[in-house]
Amino acid sequence: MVAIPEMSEADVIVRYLSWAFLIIILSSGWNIIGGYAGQFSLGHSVFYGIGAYVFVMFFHTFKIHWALSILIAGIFSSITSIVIGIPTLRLRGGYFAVGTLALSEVMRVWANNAPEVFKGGVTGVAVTLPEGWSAIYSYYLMLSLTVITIVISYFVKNSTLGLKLRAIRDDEDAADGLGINVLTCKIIALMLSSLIVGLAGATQTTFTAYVSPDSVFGTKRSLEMVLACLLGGLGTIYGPVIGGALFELLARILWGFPHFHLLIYGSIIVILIVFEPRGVIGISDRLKHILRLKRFLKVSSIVGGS
Amino acid sequence: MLEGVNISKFFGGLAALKNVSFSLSKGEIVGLIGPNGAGKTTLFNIITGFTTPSSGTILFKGKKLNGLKPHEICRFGIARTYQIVKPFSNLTVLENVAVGVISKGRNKISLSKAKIEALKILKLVGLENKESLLARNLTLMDKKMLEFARALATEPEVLLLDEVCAGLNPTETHRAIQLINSLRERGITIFWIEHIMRAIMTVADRIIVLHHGEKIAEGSPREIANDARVIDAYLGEKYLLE
Ligand SMILES: Nc1ncnc2c1ncn2[C@@H]1O[C@H](COP(=O)(O)OP(=O)(O)OP(=O)(O)O)[C@@H](O)[C@H]1O
Ligand SMILES: [Mg+2]
Repeated sequence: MVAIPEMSEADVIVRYLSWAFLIIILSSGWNIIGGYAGQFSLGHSVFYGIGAYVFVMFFHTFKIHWALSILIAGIFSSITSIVIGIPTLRLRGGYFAVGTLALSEVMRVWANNAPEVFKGGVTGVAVTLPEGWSAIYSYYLMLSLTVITIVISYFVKNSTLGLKLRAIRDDEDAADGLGINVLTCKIIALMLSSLIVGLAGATQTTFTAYVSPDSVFGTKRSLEMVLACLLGGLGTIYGPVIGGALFELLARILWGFPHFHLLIYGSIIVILIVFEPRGVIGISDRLKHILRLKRFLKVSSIVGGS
Repeated sequence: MLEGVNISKFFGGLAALKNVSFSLSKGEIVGLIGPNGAGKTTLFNIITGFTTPSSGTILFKGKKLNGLKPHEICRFGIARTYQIVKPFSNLTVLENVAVGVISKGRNKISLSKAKIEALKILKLVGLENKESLLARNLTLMDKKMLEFARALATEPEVLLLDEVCAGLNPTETHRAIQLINSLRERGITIFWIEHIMRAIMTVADRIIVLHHGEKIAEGSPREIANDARVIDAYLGEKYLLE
């Protein structure tokens, strides 16, 4: 039996912030392939889960240093993405989304039935954290990873790779016709994306101290990344940051309605895709536009009246 | 420079192209005309690797292009525009052209340098004042000019133009023609599909006529205008009288 220590208010805040950072990292990572390149993966929990399980293998089973284990987990996740990406990234639009969704379900079922590979099998595995580990360390890890992720996202967006990805998002054939190796660019984007998500999957294990197939490979995780990204603004640098924070807030509010929340998530996804795929950033752009227009009308009416 | 040997393409039972051969020499402007559904766009799709021919070979400077991907063919030096324009809608005009600049693949170029290059090309087609507009907000004329600019950005030796004048008014058509003529001076070889006879007849050195997937005539604009089969199949009596 593990005694649950009384949590102080500061501890609670640290935990809440850690979760918020996690979702910000995940949606920023997803945004590289889903937002910039427009390849709508619905199976990113695969990379999250691989990150978590590889961390368990190296840290928990092989007793490798936690920092090195996180790094290995991220790299492993990224390498796996090449194997996954080569067949799936040839699929277009909805087929890619469904393909990745199916793949993550296959992973989840496999993990549930293969305890020799995925430690603990269906019941999951409780991870022994290093001596003297505290939630605040996990918090700093998440914070650092958030900063790293935003920096990567910024550099990708402002690089030639970013431009190629956005061109591919708008018209794959036209991009191909202009000399862009579409598949290679998509694979590089997926590798970066899965590196970030894999690192996050490993890092979250240092504060959940528990990994199970359903908790890491579940579709819910995949959908959360997409939703947070849509909330804030698809294909922007800060969209996933704002969206991740908003999402976490929403999740806290909906905490008391365990089944209802999926309905709300689903409705929000549909509404955003139909009306404003650029989320909060898109809405604020529109508001700015309206305000500018109003000011312009006011000025011109004053000028006209005099 | 660019050569097609006995190209055929079947879509199911439909023969879109039947044993079509052609050859372009360096610096030439060759027109490709023919009624709707004659197989003109299909031929361009085959040259640029978007469609695989049922039989026949495409040669570029003696090298076989069959089986290569569109991006590989583009890097060899063949660029194209599309009959139905394909701008990157959510990219700015400048970014659209920068895509062409960076994917040339010769040597790595930074994004900021690529944008400087792109601006030069925009000036060439007269879009420099619209550089920061999103491509989807352009008029049809400007979208066509953007297609031009983007293709030029890849520094092609051969440029395939698919109906760049369609849908343009006479002034705009005049501008497009001026642009095409200026490309000739740069030594770019042009293969040009067009329905607007006045445009193509005045600019092209040579014209190839397709009808139901077959090449029915080839020659100078004057020869083509007087060819009985071409008049019968495509131009009609009206053009003769003009
Ligand atoms: N992907 C395809 N699948 C089936 N049929 C096709 C395909 N592409 C073209 N075709 C058919 O091949 C024939 C030639 O089409 P193509 O687009 O090459 O004509 P075109 O000469 O460019 O005509 P237009 O002047 O109208 O542009 C048409 O009958 C068309 O319907
Ligand atoms: Mg056509």
